[in-house]
Order: sequence, then C-alpha cells, then structure tokens
Amino acid sequence: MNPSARISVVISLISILSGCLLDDSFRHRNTYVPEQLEDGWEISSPMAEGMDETLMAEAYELFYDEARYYNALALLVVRNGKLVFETYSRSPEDRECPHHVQSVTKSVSSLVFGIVREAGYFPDLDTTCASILPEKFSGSPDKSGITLRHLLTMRSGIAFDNDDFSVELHIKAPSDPVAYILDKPMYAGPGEKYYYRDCDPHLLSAFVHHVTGQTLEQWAVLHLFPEIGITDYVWLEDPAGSTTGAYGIYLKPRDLARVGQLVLQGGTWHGVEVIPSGWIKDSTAFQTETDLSDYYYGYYWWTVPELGAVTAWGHGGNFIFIVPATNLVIVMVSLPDVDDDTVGTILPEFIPLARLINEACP
Amino acid sequence: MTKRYPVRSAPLWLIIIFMVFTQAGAAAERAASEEGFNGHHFSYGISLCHDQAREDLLVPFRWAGVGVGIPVAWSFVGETWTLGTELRLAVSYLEERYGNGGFIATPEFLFECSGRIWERGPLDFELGAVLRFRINDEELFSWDDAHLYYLASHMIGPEAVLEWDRLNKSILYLRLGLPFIGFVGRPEEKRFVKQELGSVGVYFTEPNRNLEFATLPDYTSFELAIGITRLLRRSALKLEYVLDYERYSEPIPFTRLTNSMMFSHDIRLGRQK
Repeated sequence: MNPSARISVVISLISILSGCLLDDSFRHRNTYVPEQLEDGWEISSPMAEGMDETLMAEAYELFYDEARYYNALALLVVRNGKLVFETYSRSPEDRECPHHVQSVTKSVSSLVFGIVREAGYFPDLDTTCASILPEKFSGSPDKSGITLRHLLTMRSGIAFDNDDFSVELHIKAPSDPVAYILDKPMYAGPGEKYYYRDCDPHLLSAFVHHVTGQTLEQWAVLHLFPEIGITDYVWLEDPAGSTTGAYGIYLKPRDLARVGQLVLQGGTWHGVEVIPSGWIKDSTAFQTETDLSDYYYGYYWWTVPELGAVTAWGHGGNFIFIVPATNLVIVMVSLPDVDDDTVGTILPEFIPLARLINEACP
Repeated sequence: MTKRYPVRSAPLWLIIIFMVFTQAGAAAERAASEEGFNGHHFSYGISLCHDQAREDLLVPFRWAGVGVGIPVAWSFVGETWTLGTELRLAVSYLEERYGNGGFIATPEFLFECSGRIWERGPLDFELGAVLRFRINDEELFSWDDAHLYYLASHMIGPEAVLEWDRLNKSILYLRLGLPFIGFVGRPEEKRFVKQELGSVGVYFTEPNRNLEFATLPDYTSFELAIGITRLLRRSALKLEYVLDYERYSEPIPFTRLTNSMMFSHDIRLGRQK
C-alpha cells in the first residue's frame, strides 16, 4: 500500500468512526383538535364557534413555522368559553405538565391581590409602604415615598436588575428579602419612572404575607384556584417563606386558559364572583406607559390597544392573551428560561399570531 | 414551595483525587524499586477537537462546534507495566441548528494502569484498567440561562494498548478504554429553582450531588486513541487522534461524541533506559 493510500484509509477510518450525532427538531406537528377530558372544559371547534377555518389553518402554520416561536410548547384558543384549538408542539404530554410561565406569575399575583383587597386589606393603593411596615423602611428614607400603586405599576424606583434579583434571591438567600431589596439604591424617585423590575411585585407579595399572615399562594389556594378548577400547580417562595410575586408559578396550559377566561368574564366563574370585577377592570386598564411604545401596563397586566386586548406576558414566550371584543382567549406556553434576544418570543413577536387568530373571529 | 438546593462543599471529590495521586505515586515508587528505574514522564500538550453533544433533557438538538483542551500528565513506565495519571481541562463552544450557542466545559482526571501481557517482535499488547473522573458541564445559555446541565461520570473499566515500535524512533499505538461502571450525576428532570448558577463552585458541587451507580446499558462510553510517538534524545513528541463517546440515558439521554487531535510534549525525568 503506497503512502497516499494509507492516508486515505486512515482518513476514511476516522470519518467512519467520528460519525455524527443525530439532530432532531424541537417541535413536531401535532393535531390541534382538543381532547374531551373530565376537567371542566367544554370542547368545541373553530367552525362551530364561528371562526374562519382558513385563518385558523394559517395560524396553525404560523405557530409551527420553523423560523418563529421555536421554543413554543403549546398553543390553545378558547372562544365563547369553549376550548376550540389545542396543540402541543413538542409532546402531547405537555398538556398534563405544569410549566413555569415566568412573569405570567405577576398577573396571577395581581388577581390574588384583588382578592386580598376585597378581604379588607390594603384599601388605599396610595398608601405608602413605609406606613404599612415602618420597621422595614426605617433605614431607607429614600424609599419612604413608595406606594402600593408604585409597586403595582413598576414605578418604585428601586434599582435591582431582574437577573441579579433572581440570582441573589436564590443563591445568596437573604433571610430578610424585603430588607435586602430595600437596601438597593434608587434609579429614580418613587413613582417617577416605569422600570420593569421583579423586585416590585415581590415586595407586594411580601407585604401581603406580613400584613395578612398568609402568603399569596395561600390566598390563591383558599380563594382562587379551587374556584376555577386548578388543582395541580407549583408556586415558589423566597427564603422568608413569602410567595415569589414576580415569577415562579407553574401551571398547566389548560389552567392558564382558565385564568384568561376568568379575566375575560370580569372575575366571575360559573356565576360566582371570584375576583372583584372592579379590580379586574382597574388592573387590566391603562395605568402607565412602558418602555414599549405600543403597549401599556395595568396592574401587572399588559394592554394592547391595537387589538383592545390585555395579556399576561412571561419571559420566553408565555402569554395569556385576552380579547374581550371577540370573546377570545389565546394561551401560548414556551420553554421559559431561554435568552429572549435569540430564542424566546417577546410580545411584539407574538402579536402577528394573536392578530391572525383574532381576525378569524368575526 | 421552595426547593432550594443546599450547596455543599465537595471534599470527597478532592479527597478522591488526592488519594489517587498519592496511591499512583506510591505504586510508581514501588515499581521503581522492584524493577529498576525505567522512567518517570511528565507531559503537557494541547488538543483541538470537534465536539458534538445532545442534551435531550433540554432540547433534542445536536450541538456541534470546536473546542480546545490542555492535557497534563505524569506517568511511570516500568519494564512490563505502566502507571499514569492525567488531568485534562477542555472547553468547547457549540451551536445548535438555529445557530444559538452554548459551552461545554470538561474537567477530567484519569488514572491508568496497564501491564504487558503479550509481545511479539515489534508488537506489544498491554491490558489494564482506566479510572476516570469526568464532569460534562453544559452551559446552554441560549435555551436555558437559569439552570446548569451536566453529566458527571466517575467510571472504571478495562483498557487495552497495542504498540508497534518498529518505526524508526517512532512508536505507533492504538489505545481503547472502556470505562463503563461507576457513578453518575445528572440533573433532575424537573427543577423548580429558577436560578441555580451564580458561583463557580456550583459547576463542581451540582454534578456531584446525589451520585448514582450506573453501568451498561444505561451508561456507555469508550475512548479510542490512535497515535504516534516520536522519540527524541530526552523527550518525545506525541500526536494522537482520540474518538471519545459517552452516553447516559437517565432521566433523559445525554450523548457526546468528541473527535480530537492532541499534540503533546513528553519529558523524560531521570535517566533513560
């Protein structure tokens, strides 16, 4: 065997041995026809609910477009209170799995806070937090002007970056998270500027815990989840035992749709007022401008004036999108811990899909 | 509910490394006294690799890219047997089908022992064992910037070496290691902690928490090396191609296939044979 032949043999051998691991797609096309389960959801079809089948087929194609939403796990559509479209792009088993929906938690926190207020706590949103828990603010005079409304609209002024917040809350595990948050500097005076921060809803959650003696999760377990049929969930807590108000709730896709339907119905479920309708109205109305020009913020709910919609929005591409005019709820669940700049879906990217589904509703 | 992981120091890991080092050294000294001083070797080098990995626990993608490694080794070559330890530190940058990136860092420590069992002319055949401590730390930040993915595998298994030293001042060799029995560490399928990164220590402590016994068929691994050693006056140059495969199927599979070329300089300590 001459030298070049030997080299060829060696190269061939190496090529064969090196091989390649098989690649796979994150998503596979599955049916969008919901399955009838004993979970309280009435099943229907887009056509039966007067939706344009062609546009819904386009929505299906858009959802599975390889160039978009590629960390998406599920898309559900509820029309007229009936589940008409349900597809799981990675695995049908995701239907039974509670998913971390990131900042959708804030919107659920908002609903629970409405229940807490209805029970008589925190009647005035312009009450300063320092007057509620003076001992926590004694060392933070620059934060003494922060009100509950500032916390609800991301305007506390506390400079605590979201990534740092989650790392420090769970890695450093301060024994008193409220004091730890209040020890941070201010980027602006209380109420002066919108700045989307996890620390604001977390402070609100901690105040609920301190003042009422019950966590947000306990309030939800007593007054929200059983009322609308949510039984399987996870909700994280901070080192002091307060429910994480900004993130940390894990819900099944169909249960996210229940939350959306509850809001669509003004807080009423099967004729029972679960959330005060006034709170639903206030929390989903314009309260402040945001750093996104086309979208505004209520009390932990985003508003989309273009479609007359309101939405919960969680990192990665988690949405409970509600359009009252067309009696429509859209839920999208996505892998939650992705980099939003590269993989995740942000609200402006989700809007084309939501718009298409909304257009299917005459 | 909060399920915060207690972060523990990992003295066991360091103790094991220390013990292996000291035991290897002691064994080498015994070998030296019994069989004559045949040669301590110290080598260092660099390896370049093409790396592929699938972490199905997160996404079923093939992540592929290139990496670089630094191997540092000590060995003792006796008349009929060889002892060696090697520390390898490697890191690869990988991308998936959409071009999003991630890193795999691989600290690895090996202890090898082999003895000549067959010799015919220029051919030597050695059989022994390899003990390997390895951590695959996967930082797949595009798809999960809150959790560490990993496979820690601390394995032992047989190793075979075939040498052909008829070439002029060069030794051609083929080595096959099959570490397949030992302990592995993997993340849980569902983790309820949003952020577990944040300190360097977590890259060692997390993979070594809750190690579980594993062997075939759940765990499979082999390392095939083909190399040539060019002997110089008091040192040697080595060029080696390594094919390294590792797979563990629980709770959801992790697979890795690495092709690397290693260039190293072997310094002979003490006098030559």
